Amino acid sequence: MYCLLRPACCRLKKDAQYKPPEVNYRAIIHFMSQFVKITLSLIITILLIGAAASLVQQNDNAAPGTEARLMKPKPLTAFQLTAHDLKPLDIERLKGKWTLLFFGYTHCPDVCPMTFTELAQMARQLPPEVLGDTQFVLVSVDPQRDSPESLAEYVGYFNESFLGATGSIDALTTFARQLDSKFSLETDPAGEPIVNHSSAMLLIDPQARYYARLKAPHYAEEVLAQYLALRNSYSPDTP
Amino acid sequence: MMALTKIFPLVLLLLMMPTINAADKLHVHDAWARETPPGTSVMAAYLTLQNPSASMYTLTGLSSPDFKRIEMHRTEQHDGMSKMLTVPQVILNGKGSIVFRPGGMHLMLIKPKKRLKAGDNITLTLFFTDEHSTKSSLEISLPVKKATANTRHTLHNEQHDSHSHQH
Repeated sequence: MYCLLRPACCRLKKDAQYKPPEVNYRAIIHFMSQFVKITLSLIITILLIGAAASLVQQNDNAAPGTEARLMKPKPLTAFQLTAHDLKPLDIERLKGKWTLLFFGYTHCPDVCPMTFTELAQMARQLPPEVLGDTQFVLVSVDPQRDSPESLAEYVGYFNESFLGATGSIDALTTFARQLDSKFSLETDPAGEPIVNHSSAMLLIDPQARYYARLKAPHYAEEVLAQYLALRNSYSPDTP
Repeated sequence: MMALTKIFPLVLLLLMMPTINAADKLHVHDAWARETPPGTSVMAAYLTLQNPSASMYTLTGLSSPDFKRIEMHRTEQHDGMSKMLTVPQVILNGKGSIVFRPGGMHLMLIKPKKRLKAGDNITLTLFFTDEHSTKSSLEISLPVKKATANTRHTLHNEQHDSHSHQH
């Protein structure tokens, strides 16, 4: 009766040859080793990411605001523009001073006056010894309308010590290219000139090397912080 | 005959009513023009236009007795270049607002009749059409100011405000 109810049990009893199913140890070991491998690689990945993040963090802590610096300073080659004081603006005039340079034009109603208002504000906040070896330059890419005389009035309006400069289209193109900058001159349907220009602010070091590129928009306090950080971490021997 | 002459000014007034009233619903604030260095032929002006009504308006143009021409422009950053694009018209949604601000949309005041300095005032007329193509205009006066330095924070807030009003 019992056997009828539990046929498997009866069979077990009957079949003396029965062996319990063999455990596939190989499969278990394989599974375990895969599990360990995956877990380990996950842990290593997490650790690596953490380490990388902390490294980046440390870099930031070391010199905040220096992100605008080029990987390698780029020595400028000969160029010649005319400054608003009718003297040349060339490599010699860049040497021995830090130069913050912006491409623009005087008939620009919005971005250029905004940028130079910010630069004037920044100049007021610079420590005197820093201001002493800093020059601010507007390079007009609209030489047809901007004469050195009109540039003198324009830059002088923002700060008496600011420099304005311009030159032939060829000279401007060559110079802008050296600073990874560009401009274009078009005419709108009403016949008015349209001037497009790079909006980045370029920093040139006292060895006349293109040193850093500050992205727009340019706010006084941000340009000031970046400029001081770049100067403080500067080593003239950087090749 | 008497009746007609009496009614005529009233009819005229009634005809003018929509023209006067339509744009009067709109509010203009924070309007100013940037004082520019001597010798420049263009100035930028900024303002906030607010529409408390539910109807939509289109700002189709501007004029001023103090300038040869006025255009609406937008400064855009393309591929690291700063470009000025002409904006032919701007839609002002019901309960919405438009912000003309430094580095964004601005009014370009072309060829001033005389050099304008901080403290001077400019008269501007804004032209609108509403949903029924009815024309209206709004005359405003705004001061010329010498700009002070901005911060990313103040500009960002203005932008944020304009978004929240538009939606």
